[in-house]
Amino acid sequence: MTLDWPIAARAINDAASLAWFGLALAPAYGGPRFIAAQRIAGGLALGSLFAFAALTMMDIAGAGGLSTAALVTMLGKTSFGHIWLLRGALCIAALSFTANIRVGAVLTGSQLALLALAGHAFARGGVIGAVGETLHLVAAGAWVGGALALALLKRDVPESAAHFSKPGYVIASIAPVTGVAVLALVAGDVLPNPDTDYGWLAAGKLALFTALLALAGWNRFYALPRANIVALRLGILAELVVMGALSFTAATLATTSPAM
Amino acid sequence: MRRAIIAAAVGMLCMPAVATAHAMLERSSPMVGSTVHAAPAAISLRFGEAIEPALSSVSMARADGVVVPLATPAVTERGTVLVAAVRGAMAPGLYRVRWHVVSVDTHVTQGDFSFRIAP
Repeated sequence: MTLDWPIAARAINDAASLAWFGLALAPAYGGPRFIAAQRIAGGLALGSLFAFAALTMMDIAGAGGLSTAALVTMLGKTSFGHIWLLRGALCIAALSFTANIRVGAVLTGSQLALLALAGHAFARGGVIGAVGETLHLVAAGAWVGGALALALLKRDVPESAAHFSKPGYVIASIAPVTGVAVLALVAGDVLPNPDTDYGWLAAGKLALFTALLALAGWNRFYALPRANIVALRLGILAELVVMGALSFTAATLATTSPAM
Repeated sequence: MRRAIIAAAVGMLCMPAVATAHAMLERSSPMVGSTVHAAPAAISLRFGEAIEPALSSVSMARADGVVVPLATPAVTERGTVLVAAVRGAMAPGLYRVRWHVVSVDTHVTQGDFSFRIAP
């Protein structure tokens, strides 16, 4: 068992960016407002972005090492370098505007959406792929952050969960539709290819998402109507565990060729 | 609850890694392993993903190792095709093309292939 540092950094960055946007968005639909949690998620997003960029640049530079010229070329003359710089600037700006709900949601959402321009969806699917991936990320972020906000609540969990229900239906519809559309665009088929690592990972992501939908159904249609706080808390925690596994799977998918 | 969230997150990061690779060579001109009857005016490489021109290169040499000069490569067709004009003379014989590219999603791939110019 080895830890692949670039994948780990990417997974942390994905998860932190999703959670940060969702936490920033939560007050917009009547959810709780966690300023400290937003700052922690923001710090994690910025730190992991820096780590991922540094590890990736060292990987690209290879055995020769990362020279100043190579650093300047990668940051200044490549599309992914420009995206990293822009995302870093958005992270810093969003950390400065955590107290402002609308500005915070827009900045964290933009920071999250830019992930779509540095992945398979854009590399293989162009603008259509990037739009699909952006919608997928925004829906996933709202879901992750909403669940995290509910998990962090000390009281009024059923009331806050009820606030999350309406946007939850929209989110739970957009996330799978856009996810499958992007998979079809990137891999050429809505059904994962079992002959490739990418296919197995995609199948794993679909299985995890199915489990997530089941847990969301449990929370919405069993725990919430009964105001069973223990069941609700357990269900939300289980959702977060599955979301973490989904983030790791997505980060691994992002660094695996669809052809392999 | 907070400890459980942190423990779950750490556990997920310790999963096994898998192999990675990305912008694959899909087509080339001259074609891989082909025999052509006239010297090509340019070397053209089509990849499965868009590539970064600033970090992508192509070179060509004769079988005896003598390098054939190429122009600075350009990227066309939504970033998926790398084209380098041939600057030097090419006599009949075997030639090897080496390429090294970085895709827009940051992944490095490289490879080489040969083609022959018929006498």
